[in-house]
Amino acid sequence: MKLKWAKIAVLLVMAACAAVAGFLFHEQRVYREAVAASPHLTQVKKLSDYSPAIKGTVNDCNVYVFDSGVPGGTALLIGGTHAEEPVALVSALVFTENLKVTQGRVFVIHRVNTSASTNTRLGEAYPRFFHVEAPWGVQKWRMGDRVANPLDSWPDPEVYIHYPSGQNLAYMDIRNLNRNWPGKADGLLTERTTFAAMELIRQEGVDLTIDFHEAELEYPVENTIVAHERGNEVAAMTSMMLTSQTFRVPIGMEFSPKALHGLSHREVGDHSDAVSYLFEVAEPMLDRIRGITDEELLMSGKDRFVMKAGEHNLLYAPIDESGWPFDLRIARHVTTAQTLIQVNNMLHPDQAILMEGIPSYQDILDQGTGAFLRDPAAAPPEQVYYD
Amino acid sequence: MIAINTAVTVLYYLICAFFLAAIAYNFVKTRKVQESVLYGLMMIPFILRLLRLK
Repeated sequence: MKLKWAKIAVLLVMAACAAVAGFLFHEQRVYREAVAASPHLTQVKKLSDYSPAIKGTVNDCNVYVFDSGVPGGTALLIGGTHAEEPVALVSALVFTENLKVTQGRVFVIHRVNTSASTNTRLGEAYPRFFHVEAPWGVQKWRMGDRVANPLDSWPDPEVYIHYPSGQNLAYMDIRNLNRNWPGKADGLLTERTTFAAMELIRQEGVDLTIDFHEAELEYPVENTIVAHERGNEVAAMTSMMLTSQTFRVPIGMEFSPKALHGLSHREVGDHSDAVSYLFEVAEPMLDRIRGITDEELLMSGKDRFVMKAGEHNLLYAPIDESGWPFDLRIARHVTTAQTLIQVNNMLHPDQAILMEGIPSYQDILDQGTGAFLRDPAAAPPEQVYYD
Repeated sequence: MIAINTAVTVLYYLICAFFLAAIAYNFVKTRKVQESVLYGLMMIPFILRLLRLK
């Protein structure tokens, strides 16, 4: 009798543990991120409008379209490639919630690999969500993983063979969106996602793509613009302008390696008429040697262990007591995108894109990112969308 | 590729269900409290996988 009651107690405790864990996993998986789009948004399409390859999957994301109706260039801004780099998501969102295009067209994707945002990196104790304070309240987003959720794409191959180059990559990179360009219509989830994105680029005649990222300070490709060779002039001039006039920490410019396949800065340019760029900014939370991995570190970008590594010249970006705060990282990405498009306008007048409403670098630093986010609860319902 | 992955996934869940059943059987049969606690803990990840929560 005593054993029977002990087993019942064990079952109850086990069920409670499973219920709590299951609720936490499920909450992150189904949370819907509200977007209060700019009143000047023209249309919201789905990525599957360009290819049925991802119809019905979690990665059939929203594509926010700003069409001025005036002939000019077309840009595609891509956020959410790596869901553990949240500044990429929010930088794209700042455009969607504030943008007015007066010439040309701008397409924005916030969560190009939505699946990756529905789980966290195994063994890293990442927070499930992150929050930004705005004048009207708090906005909340999922903090995800680098690669797609195994619940959506599994099993991985023993070795991931990139299509079409045949380059061998690590097994989990089959779920890493930025190793899967230009994609494959009958491949696994991330291959199909990039294939659909390539179809968007080809069908809409996109002239330039910008893929937002963040990187650990231990990583050599840091605070930089990685450019396809057709974009070297634009990237170099953008880098020089921002470094000389705006940024305290310089932004570099790097050539996209021709032999490194699967990345957007290489494959988008090789497989379409678009010129592809990838932006990196420093995020101490991604460093291996960081301390406690919580939302405070994510938002402040301050970590004494990373600072110590900097004192020993082990990093590729400077860091001091002020860290790399969220607003600074957002300001760099948003300003770099604006500047790059302006430079592209100068060098390629036939691809001119004129934009209004986007906050400046100093505006974001002074007022914070939250000042440029709209309240979904107060916005007209027809302007509210969910990612 | 997709068909193979789907087949492997179905097999994976069948294996999960088999092991969950085996652990549950041992949980019922054991006469030791300590072992029942062990089997109880072991069942949690299998349940979460079968429910596609993790």
